[in-house]
Order: sequence, then C-alpha cells, then structure tokens
Amino acid sequence: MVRRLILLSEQDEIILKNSGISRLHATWLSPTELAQITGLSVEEAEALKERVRVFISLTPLRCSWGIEVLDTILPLIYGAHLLMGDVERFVKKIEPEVLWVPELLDEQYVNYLVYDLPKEIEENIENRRPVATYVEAFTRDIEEGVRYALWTLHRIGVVYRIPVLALGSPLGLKFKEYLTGAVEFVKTVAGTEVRVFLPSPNFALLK
Amino acid sequence: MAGNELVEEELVRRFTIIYRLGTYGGRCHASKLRTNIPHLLKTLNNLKQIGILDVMKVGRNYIVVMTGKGWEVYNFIVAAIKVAKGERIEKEVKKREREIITKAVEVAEAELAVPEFVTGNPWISVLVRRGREW
Repeated sequence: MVRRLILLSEQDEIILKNSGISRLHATWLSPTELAQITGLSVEEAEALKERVRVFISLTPLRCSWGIEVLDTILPLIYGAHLLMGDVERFVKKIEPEVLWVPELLDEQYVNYLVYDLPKEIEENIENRRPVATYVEAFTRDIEEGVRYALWTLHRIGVVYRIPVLALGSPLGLKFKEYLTGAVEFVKTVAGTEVRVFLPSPNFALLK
Repeated sequence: MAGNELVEEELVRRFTIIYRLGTYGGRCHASKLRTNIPHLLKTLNNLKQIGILDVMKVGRNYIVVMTGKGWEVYNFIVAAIKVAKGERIEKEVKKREREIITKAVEVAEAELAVPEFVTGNPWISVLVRRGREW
C-alpha cells in the first residue's frame, strides 16, 4: 500500500532506471551503498534518497515450519532468523517454499544480497517467499562480512515483511541486534534438539 | 448504565493491549498481552478491524503487530499517562515523538539507521556500480 508518492525529476528517474533499482530499494539502501551502485557521491546519494523515499507498508508474509512445535517456540515472523546446526531438512519443509540464495562467495555474494535479491523479490510476486542463505560466504574479513550480510538480510526481512533465514554458525549470534530469531538444531540419540536463543530461550525435542 | 460499563471495559481492554504492545516494541506473542485481559482475541479482532494492529496466526500462536495508526494511539496513551502523573508535555517534543514513531512503522521501517560498522566496512566497497557514467 503506497502511502505517499512524490513525483521525481527526470534526472532522478533516469538515475534509478539506469541503475536498475526501484524507489523502495533506494529507500532502504544506505547512502554509501546507493552511491556505490549509482556512481553518485555519498552526498548526492543521500539527497537522492530523500527525494525518492516511498512510504510503503506490506502485509507480513505468513509462514510455517510445517511442524507445530517449531511454530510455537520459533514463529517465522518477518526479520532475520539465524539457524545453526543440522537445519537444512527443516528449511525444506517451510511453507511457502523458501527462495534459496545461490551459493556465491565474497563480492558476488554481497552484490547478490544487496542488489539482485531485492530485485527478484520486487519484480516477481511469486518470489515474495521466505529467503534462505548460507551466511558464512566469505573467504576473508569473515566477521565483517557476516555482520554486513546479517544487517542486509535484516533490512530485507523488515522492508519486504518476510522471514529471512541465515544458515550459519554461532558467529552470527554476535550480531543479535539484526536477529529476530536464533536457533540451533542438534542431532542426538533421542532425536533432534531444538535450542532456541532468540526471541526468548526455549527448548524442544523432535523425534 | 450497564451498556456504558461494557463500553468502558472494552475501551480499557483496548488501551491496555495497545499500551502493552507498544512497550513490547510493537510486535509480540498474544500470550504476552493476556494477563488480566479477558476476551483477548475478540478485542484483538476489534482492534484489527479498525486498523490499530495486525494479528497473525502461526501454528497455535498469535503474533500481534502494531500498525502506524496503532503507534499514534500508543503515543496519545503515553502522553495521557504523563498528564495523569502530573508531568508536563512539551508540544514540540510530543509532535516530534509522534513523527518518529509513525515514521518508524509507516515508512515500512525502511529508514533503518545506518550502523557505525558500515563506515570502513570492506564489503561495501565491493558493491558493483550499475548503469552508466553521469
């Protein structure tokens, strides 16, 4: 639902069109990111952000783990969720089916998250699904990379009102400010232990 | 008289829910709002119908999310509480608070503050320039 739409100057429209980013996309990018993508200076990008800003409120996407106990202790509400351990088989059961981020590394991964993924979600309504990605896709500056990836996933989750699942290790727990949920799945003899760290500590055993 | 009491009870329930939801940051399990509030789901549905909040059913749980309109009401409630406590409300402060809170939600929370770590983060400089030269 668009709350307010201010007409843009021809120059602004050309910049956005040529850069291939929508007004909503430009709204949530930081000035530095927008500057990198458009080739403008940071100051110009900041001014552009002010002019292109849109007011949109999407209905949160309703998702389910397909397993009742998981929906109870770890509801898939919008935002970034850190999933640790043996989790892939549970992610495959999520409804609606998750949109997987391709397995890319370093520069390619960052560019995909910041530029291509939001475009995919915006340009095809069928892609407004939960997103899943292996967040530790960095061969250097790993901590900065994971932090940046989680921040970006958090923004995507909040803006597009979808759950974004970051599959990774406890390193991600260092950046709780970007996490809506965090859980570890551990295989034991008794079954799979579900250890929930966020939003509040909880535990379940899946047999 | 009985009718009025009912209206008052429902109003108190509504204000209590909005206030609690606001204190939880605008998003929480319905169970967190339950204490001492009978007919919770009915009241939540009433509030949903008038656009104050959204209720999502996730498994057995209900997640309650505040809307922009809900934040406006919350802000009025907070202001009313301050008045009831004898605190003075500066008009400008009140206006600014409302602007901030309304923006935070109605702008689809897109205006997320840029964290400090972004400055000098090596991964931002690898973002590829798209389009042509200006």
